[in-house]
Amino acid sequence: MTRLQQGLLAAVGVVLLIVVSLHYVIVRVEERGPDGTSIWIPVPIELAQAALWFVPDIDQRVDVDVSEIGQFSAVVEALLKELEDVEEAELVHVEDGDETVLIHKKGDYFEVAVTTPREKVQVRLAMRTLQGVLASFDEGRFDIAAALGAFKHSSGPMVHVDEPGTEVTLAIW
Amino acid sequence: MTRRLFALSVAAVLLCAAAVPVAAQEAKPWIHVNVTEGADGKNVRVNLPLSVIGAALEMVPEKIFEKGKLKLKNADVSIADLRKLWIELRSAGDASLVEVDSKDSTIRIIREADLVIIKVDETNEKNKQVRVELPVKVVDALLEGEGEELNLRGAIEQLKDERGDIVRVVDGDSNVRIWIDETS
Repeated sequence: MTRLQQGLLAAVGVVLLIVVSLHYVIVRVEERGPDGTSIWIPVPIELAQAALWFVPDIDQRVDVDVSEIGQFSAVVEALLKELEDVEEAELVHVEDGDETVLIHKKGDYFEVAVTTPREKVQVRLAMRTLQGVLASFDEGRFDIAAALGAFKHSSGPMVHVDEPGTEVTLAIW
Repeated sequence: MTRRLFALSVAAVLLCAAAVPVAAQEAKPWIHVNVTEGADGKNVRVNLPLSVIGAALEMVPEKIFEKGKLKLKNADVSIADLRKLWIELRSAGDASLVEVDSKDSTIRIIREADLVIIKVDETNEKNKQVRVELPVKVVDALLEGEGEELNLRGAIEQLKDERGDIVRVVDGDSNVRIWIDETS
């Protein structure tokens, strides 16, 4: 093996290592039926964060009306703090005819499941992700890059929507 | 050496054993709300750490209370008047504090030991029954302060020591139960 080949191999190894060490949001859309389209897009979170800094006109911190978010986030923060040591708990369970809403805490994750006759929606987020997103609200501004970074604390399926004809999955790996 | 190791092991086991009850004592109170509306109705279960309710109440007062006055169905009740009434009633000891008998309903507010018990029984076709059991110290805390203010945070703080049912409502097929325990 020549030095050039060795160098190329090493470069490929480094690139592979970088690729593997990145966190990805995987978006998958499946349209059912014979002509259904399948879409699979991996978005590296770190690159998305970095890309934000290269867009000159975008302000990294978006003005938001935090008058209501601030109050809401205080409750969520208190809830997260209290639930840190709780391994598993059913927080909310609503059954209304053929519609169901469930909010669970399982390990380090919050799980929300909404089931109606037409669709099923499941959301699964790490507590540290929620804490990170909440921390992105600061003095009336929302830090997009920081919020994006918080999603690195989640792993596995994050959102799954199953409705007639279409299935959408967002996962983090 | 072996003896020392044995002694250390025994000490470690004893320390672990001593730590278990300490951990058990730190169990936090959870408030549970269970609403059922008959076979075809809505069923709701909410289970939350009691401390979260304190934080949630921070955003409630302006919506439910106006200038400190508790909004009831058809009448505004002055908190200051309630406080005056409570000061009079709480010194009465165990007694029937309020008795209202009407054609369709009976209302009883009873003081039993450390509890204030509210019983509402409607005798119409719905047969609604309401039972509220509040410890005296919770009512004390709620009416603490001055003017037209309810000390909700203080009341929640007092509820942290309570375990068991607080509210039970039976309204035909519908049931509401609110209780506190240490189960998540």
